[in-house]
Amino acid sequence: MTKFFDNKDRVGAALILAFSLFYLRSSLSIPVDPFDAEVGFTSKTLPLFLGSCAFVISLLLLFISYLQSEGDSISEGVHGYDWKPVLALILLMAAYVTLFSFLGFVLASALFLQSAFFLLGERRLLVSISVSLGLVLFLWLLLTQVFGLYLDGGTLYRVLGN
Amino acid sequence: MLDGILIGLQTAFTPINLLMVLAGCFAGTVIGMLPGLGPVSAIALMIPVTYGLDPASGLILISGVYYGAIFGGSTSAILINAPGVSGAVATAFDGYPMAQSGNAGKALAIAAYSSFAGGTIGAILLLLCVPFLASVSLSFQSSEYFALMVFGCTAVAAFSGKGQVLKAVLMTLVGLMLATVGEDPSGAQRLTFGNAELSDGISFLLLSMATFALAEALSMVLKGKSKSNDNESKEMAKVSFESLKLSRDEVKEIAMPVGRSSLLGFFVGVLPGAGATIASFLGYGMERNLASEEQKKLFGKGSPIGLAAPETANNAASTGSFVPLLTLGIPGSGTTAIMLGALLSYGVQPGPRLFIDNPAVFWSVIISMYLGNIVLLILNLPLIPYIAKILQVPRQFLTPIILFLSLMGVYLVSFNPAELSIMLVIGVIALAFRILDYPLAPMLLGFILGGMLEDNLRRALLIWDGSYDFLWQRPLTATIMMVTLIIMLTPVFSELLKRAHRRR
Repeated sequence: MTKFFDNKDRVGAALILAFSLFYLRSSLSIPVDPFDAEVGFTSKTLPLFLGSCAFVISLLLLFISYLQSEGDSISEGVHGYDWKPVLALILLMAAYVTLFSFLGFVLASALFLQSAFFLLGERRLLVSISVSLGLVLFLWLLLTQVFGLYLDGGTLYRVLGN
Repeated sequence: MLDGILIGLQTAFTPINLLMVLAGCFAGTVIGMLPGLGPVSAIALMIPVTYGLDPASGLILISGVYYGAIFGGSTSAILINAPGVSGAVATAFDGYPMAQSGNAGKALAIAAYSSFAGGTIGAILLLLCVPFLASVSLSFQSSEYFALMVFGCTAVAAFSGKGQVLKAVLMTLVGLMLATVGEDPSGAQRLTFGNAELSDGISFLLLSMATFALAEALSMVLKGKSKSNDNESKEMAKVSFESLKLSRDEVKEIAMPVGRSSLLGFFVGVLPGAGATIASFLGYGMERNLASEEQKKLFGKGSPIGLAAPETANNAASTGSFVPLLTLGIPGSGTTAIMLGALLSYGVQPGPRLFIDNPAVFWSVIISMYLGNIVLLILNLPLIPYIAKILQVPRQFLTPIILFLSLMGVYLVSFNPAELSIMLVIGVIALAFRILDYPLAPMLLGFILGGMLEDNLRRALLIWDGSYDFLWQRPLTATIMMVTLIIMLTPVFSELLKRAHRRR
């Protein structure tokens, strides 16, 4: 099983195979316009064709990856990769996106940048705070005062403001 | 044609558009210089900025970014042996040794003059080719457009690297599948799963930002390029920028290779899927083969010809890649695909009618491309010692800022935080496919061409009463489909031939 997952082509093909199956299944439930049905090309014609092609080609790629004695190994390819900061950054971005409406542009963005700098090894607090806050405030001023765009202050700001 | 050129000149020389060329070249150089960030990411990052501009100004800015990014990529290749873009890998072969031997200024000057020459010859050829091709393709109908879209999708896949063809085809299909999400041409909701965010389909900007800018920045962290750039700082410290001038002998030495590589680069660039990287390697290889025994010894050790040839070829190829985009409306590379997406979002339809319906956009882009080359030569080159300081900015600051700007780029167009969640999910999936060595440019190409492909197929079927006979009964459609088939089958046949040869 471990060996199965240690081939780049195979894993990629398996992922796309799963996606194409899901896509094909979803395409079957696309509503059809009766006029289109007369022409022979409905809203689901292209999705069904594309899904089928992706299914066949991913299956073919999967088959080829079995025939080839050696393929690109994932474990060798990712040797030395720094996973922890990437996972932490993805979680941080997820938190940023989730808290964006609550904290508002300035606070959420400054906190995101500050945390990301810290995560990537920046320990000079004064420098990192200056960069994060400086950049966010500069953007906020540029967008709201120069371009006249509205940036949400966030629920927290409105609650505290009241 | 002359009227069009005059309109283009008027548009390109307005103060705002001149400013766009300057800003684009400068921003592109800075972004392109950062190892890992290529022209596609640079353009993706700049697209939100262009949304507030008119189509001509937006496209001029994007073209400037494109050229700037290529120039920036070559600069980091020469100074620190870290090509910012794949098209600059061959530049590092001789550019870096030359910089190491104390001739960094000269190496940068050769690169800049060669790029300028390549861009100039490319722009002249573009000026000659485009109207001719566009007038030929004016006779195209929906069926030919459909065939062209299929050709565009498959050509990029067919020109992919060894062992990548099937993967590229698969990724093109994924892009085409993603393009079907949302409202279809008849108004029906498809594959939205009742989600209002998906009813307008996946935004092109979101997909390009997620797959390139976001995934590329995360990829930099993954490969450990985010923590510090001590090595690069040390390399930069060794570089001395003496004279940026070339002697008459040096100019004489590189003149012929520059001329040859310009022509080669342009025609390679015209081929969909070939692009600047292949052109630069072909240019390098060709000049190495043509060089005298004495010159050959210098290749890889700081040969001016070895530096000039790939630089010329990649710039000429970048210009050449605009031919299929502007005349046929099919992008030949990831970069031109992203440009096509930007054009479509302005409501401008590239293709043969572009130079009739929108002569200002058409000609001003071509003219501003040339202006971009001049800007790079007379402004960016002398500023390089200062712009290169960006390489010393700590990476722990740069990567989060790129991530933040990518997210903000999408948010500031839609003002919808929900789109950021979709972007993050797509970015993570794109990173996974990047790790698995699945090419992402064909996916973006499929996504951009998907809508047009379906529209034209639907229209052709309506004209032909639901019959697919147009595929073989219209000679032009049949020819394009045949060429597509040949291109698709070429890698298969060449592989079979190789195997047969090995058995013998």
